Amino acid sequence: MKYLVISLFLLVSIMIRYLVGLHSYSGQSKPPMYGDYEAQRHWMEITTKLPVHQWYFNGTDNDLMYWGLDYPPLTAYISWVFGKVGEYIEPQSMELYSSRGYQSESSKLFMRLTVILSDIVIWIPSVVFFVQTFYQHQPLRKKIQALLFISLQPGLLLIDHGHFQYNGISLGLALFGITFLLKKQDLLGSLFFVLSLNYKQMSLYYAPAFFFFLLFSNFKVNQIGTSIIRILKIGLTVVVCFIICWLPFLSIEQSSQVLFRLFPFARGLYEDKVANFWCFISILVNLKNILTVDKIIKLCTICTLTGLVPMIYSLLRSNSIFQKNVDKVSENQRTVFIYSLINSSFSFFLFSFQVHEKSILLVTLPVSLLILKHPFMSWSFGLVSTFSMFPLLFKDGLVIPYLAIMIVYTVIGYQQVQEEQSTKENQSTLKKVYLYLGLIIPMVGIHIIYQFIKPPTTLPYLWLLLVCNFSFSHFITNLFYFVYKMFTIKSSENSRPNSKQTKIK
Amino acid sequence: MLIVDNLNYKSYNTILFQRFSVIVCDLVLIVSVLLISWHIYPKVKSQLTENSSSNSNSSGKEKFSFYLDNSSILTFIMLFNPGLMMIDHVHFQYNGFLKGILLLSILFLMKGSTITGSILFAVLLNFKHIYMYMAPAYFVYLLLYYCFDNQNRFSIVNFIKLALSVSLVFLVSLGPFIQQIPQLLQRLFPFGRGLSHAYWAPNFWAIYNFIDRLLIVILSKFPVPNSYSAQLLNHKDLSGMLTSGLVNSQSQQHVILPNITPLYTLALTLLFLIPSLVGIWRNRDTKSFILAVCQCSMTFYMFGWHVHEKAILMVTIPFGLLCVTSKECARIYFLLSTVGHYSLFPLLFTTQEIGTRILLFSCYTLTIYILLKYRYQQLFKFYTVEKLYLLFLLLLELFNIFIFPLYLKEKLPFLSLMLTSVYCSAGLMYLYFQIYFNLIFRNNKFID
Repeated sequence: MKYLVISLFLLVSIMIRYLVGLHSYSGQSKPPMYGDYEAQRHWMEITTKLPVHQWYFNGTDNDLMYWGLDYPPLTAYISWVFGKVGEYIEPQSMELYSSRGYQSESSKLFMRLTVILSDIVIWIPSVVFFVQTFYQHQPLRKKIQALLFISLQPGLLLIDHGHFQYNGISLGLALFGITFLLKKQDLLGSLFFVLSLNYKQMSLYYAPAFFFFLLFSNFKVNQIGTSIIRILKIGLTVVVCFIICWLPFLSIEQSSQVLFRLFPFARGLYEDKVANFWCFISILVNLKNILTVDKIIKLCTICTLTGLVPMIYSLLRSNSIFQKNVDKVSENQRTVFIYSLINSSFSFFLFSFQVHEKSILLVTLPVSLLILKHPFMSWSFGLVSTFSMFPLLFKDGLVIPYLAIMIVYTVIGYQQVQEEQSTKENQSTLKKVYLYLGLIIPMVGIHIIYQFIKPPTTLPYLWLLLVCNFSFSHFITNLFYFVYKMFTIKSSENSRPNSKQTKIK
Repeated sequence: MLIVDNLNYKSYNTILFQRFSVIVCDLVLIVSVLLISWHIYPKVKSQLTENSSSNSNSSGKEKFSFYLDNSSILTFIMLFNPGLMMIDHVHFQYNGFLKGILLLSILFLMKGSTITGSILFAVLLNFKHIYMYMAPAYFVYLLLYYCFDNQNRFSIVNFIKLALSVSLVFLVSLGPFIQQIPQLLQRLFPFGRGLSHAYWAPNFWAIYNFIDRLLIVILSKFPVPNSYSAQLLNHKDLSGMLTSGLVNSQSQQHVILPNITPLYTLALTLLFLIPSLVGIWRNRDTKSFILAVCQCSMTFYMFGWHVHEKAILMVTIPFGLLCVTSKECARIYFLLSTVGHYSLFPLLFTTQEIGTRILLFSCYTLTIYILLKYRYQQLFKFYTVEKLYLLFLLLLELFNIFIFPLYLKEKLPFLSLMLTSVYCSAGLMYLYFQIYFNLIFRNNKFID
């Protein structure tokens, strides 16, 4: 029976992904550049056809202007693996030059299957592992709920299987890292986090949280000797792991070129319109006219770092460095760590330079991890974060799966959240008002406007800005909410006997 | 709702509109399924508290009972029917809407408002005449329990009421075409089309056709000195029969076995129809009526002339209503749904649709297996033959996807279709007689 239920869960997750995948992808039939799907396919073509040292360089066979590789080496390796398989199945889809913009039903199916496969191999196991660790003492039904909720986040489904990316891999590796840290297996945790960083540099959003958590949980004032050894061990793991990942690119020339490809500062403050602080500010003042690019970068960096302060403070407080080292991470520390992940990724998303709207997925992951602690906020955040990517999905022709998934998510999620609340009762009217007036009604309204009313010709991006600023207002609210929860976690300590009771049961 | 797939980009908006029209029409189905499952199993909340009182968590109790709750099981089984999904939302038809009307009509009959129920059925007949398959069951049921009262006296008032209301529906629907009735009938009942469809619907005739084809092969390989068969083989153009027999259904003829005319099929159908109504004769309850509806449509499906494979939904959907009544019904429903819906696979044949069909089908099958297993525990089990049958069904699908297109498609283009059809037909025949056996000999146990 147990295996049947597990296989049913797998089948249903595959089915949902497959059905989303039947729809169009980013840049389908849109020459000359196509979209992210073409980028991934092109990388498979580049990595299988060219020798390693040419991958990141402009050359006769590698036109960097046409979707040059701009992700770290691990992406390139995995592209190579998938590319080899693709070459075997449909050689003409992986041909150098002639395959640009290649479209066929079977190659689309193949590409979709690679994403589904990587989800099954990395993303879903990581969620299972997390739920088993973090929600260890919850009843089975709750565990299943959390598993479904985290692994079927609408934004992730639509971006990975609709728009076409492999975020499941980078997020899954990061989640493995997070879970190992929660289990106090710091070396494995940092290993996985380095892998995640080497798959997609976006995982840097989590880096401050990881860094400070590792630092504070291992550094104890009264045990300086052992602390330093522990920290050195972690550092060594990180360095060795990096070296292994970068083995073919270790020369100065190679590595600087890779780094240059990974962090393109020349691109601009934000791509398109993103629901972050700078886009919000741009309504009032045009920063690009006032400041030079260098100044803007500095300003962004300062803002981002300022945003990290609350997280550092809380991590420091929860992992008090004056106590003795214990081999277990307490419930409190665990939760603070997840809050700090939210804080750090939010801070990068809202204030840093050159942000993608898809990067909200990095914030969605830690928020969704808290589903059983803050069901309502976690659920509503999934709604808003997916909504913030709507313009992108609209462009990709993914409105139908978007609506279908959102409706299912809203209805089922709301029902579950309601059940959760009926046991608590407090603040439920406030939340209802927030839900309807703040979320559902404006969202439906904006969708209707977006779909049916043309923006005025003088302001062609008006609706886009509306979506961005609406999402931004929610994001900033969420950020404050979680920071507040992070600061007040001591007082919620009183509720801990509850968890102990369930343990006894 | 996620099944709005396979959008053809050329006329995106048209297709979108068409797809949405199906989804909107499906609201009828959803409403009717909910109504009927609440009607059959009114929510009894305290029912399960006794069993699980040892469970300490009081909130967990109610939530777990959801999985055991009959009406929820029934709703799931009816609503997520993969056959309906495949045919309506991928292949494109409006079956969900019609099934919704059918269920509403059954619901009204169950509630006792006979006139409304029969009007709805008449409306249904005017939407799609294929529902004639069920008409005998309706006719007998209405005649016995509406037109005759408890003392077996014929109530002329009721009869007139019924006749008037039903004929009114027909009048309204057919009125505008009163001049063209013969042409209409010819359009509706095209007997010229051949015994079987291009893809043989898995019924009795599929096996019949298959035996015929088999005999051709055998006789042409090993010529028997029997002059009769040699004559037959010479008489008809064999090469044409073997290769194009399946496509060219207009001129489909049997070579060795006697040819079948519509009259034969009618006679066979009527013959097998009679026992299916036995249940209604015996006891006046709505479950026997539902069973008779299923068995009637299945008889037509098995022996009718030019049956479409899609007609199997007319059996599986009403039968779903019965699957929570007894373990025997649950077993038969599980097999019926597996074989019946599997037999629809050839409708979805493009590379993308293969994934869709397999995932839809296997998710549903696995879910109902878990639900029914959970409901009946140890009682829900299968005979060895059935297990073997299911195993070979899996192998057949693997053959159809992997081996057939790679190695055999060039030589024998219709082999896959023929195997699917014949194999499903064997399974359905088995189930058909299983239902008969239960209906006639174990009626009381069969429907609780």
